[in-house]
Amino acid sequence: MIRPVAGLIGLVLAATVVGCGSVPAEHVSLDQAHAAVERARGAPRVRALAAAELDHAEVALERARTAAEARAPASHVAHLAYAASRQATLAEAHAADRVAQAEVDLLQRALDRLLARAPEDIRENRAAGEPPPAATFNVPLPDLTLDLSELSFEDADPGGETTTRLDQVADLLIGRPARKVSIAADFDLPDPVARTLMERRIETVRAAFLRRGIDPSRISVHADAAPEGRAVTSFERLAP
Amino acid sequence: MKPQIEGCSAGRLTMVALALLALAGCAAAPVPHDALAAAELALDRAEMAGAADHVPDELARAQAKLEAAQAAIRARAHEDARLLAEQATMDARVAEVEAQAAQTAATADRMRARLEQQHRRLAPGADGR
Repeated sequence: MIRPVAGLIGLVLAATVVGCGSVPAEHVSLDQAHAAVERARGAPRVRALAAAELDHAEVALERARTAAEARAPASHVAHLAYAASRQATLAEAHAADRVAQAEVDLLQRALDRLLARAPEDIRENRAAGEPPPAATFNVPLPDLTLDLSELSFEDADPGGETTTRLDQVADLLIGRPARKVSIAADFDLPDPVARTLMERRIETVRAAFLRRGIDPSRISVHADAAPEGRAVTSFERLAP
Repeated sequence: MKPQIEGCSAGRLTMVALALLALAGCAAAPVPHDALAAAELALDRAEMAGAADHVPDELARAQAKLEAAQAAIRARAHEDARLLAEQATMDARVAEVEAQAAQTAATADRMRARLEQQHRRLAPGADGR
């Protein structure tokens, strides 16, 4: 007959074995992260066009594995594994974007060649009232709109949050040279002091973009409340 | 007889001490202001990149995580809030780049259609000449 103590030890050992055999939650997220990174690594275009982002995903996965091996809390391991998965998805998205961008560049060159070979046809098309070829072919990305009423200023100086926002928009413009930014401002201000302040704020925002190397032609100003006529007038006064 | 301090039993005092310790543990993690601000900025960027049009599910996931982080702060679960805010930032970053990729792909599609249209227009005999 088995003594009660021996039976208890047997039960504890059995429970331990069952516990080791079950898959902890963090291991599931680690497996998912591993699969995501493997999928990204297996795509030639990701390796070729998003190598840096793929490296980040691999480093994140290694960090998650190390944490799991060190028996870090499950939530911590799951968080690190999630980061690795997202980095892998990010690498794939960057690669897709770069493929599409390369295709846009190729198409633009093909269109340019086509136009160079057939100048007479294009002239005929223009004479027939069609828009000029450059406008026909160059399909721009949507412009960014920056509404001044949503930004905080101290007098005409941007606060920290506004500066960050301007940097974000500048980053987007730098990353997309074909894109433009439109500054929306309320010109329908009866008080001349308030109007002057608004114009100073516009100049501040424009200067912030110019300092980041954004070409002035990519920055425009429009009224978000005033009649169109006044907006054009203000824009012409502010334009370089 | 159990020791008493001004009418409180030792057991009750122990409970109070444990509760205070638990509260101190919650308060030990600082409010993750930076992580929350980073998540909000990342969401702004994703929205500006057109994520609502191109990858609404991904954007919604990021927004839900940010809201969960804010709820965790209200519940004083600061460490949970930090993790959720960081995940919201990651999700928003993915949404932003996927939206950019979708927009660029749409631009390529429009350009390809224009190119084919112009090829047809400029092809010999296309205009009856």
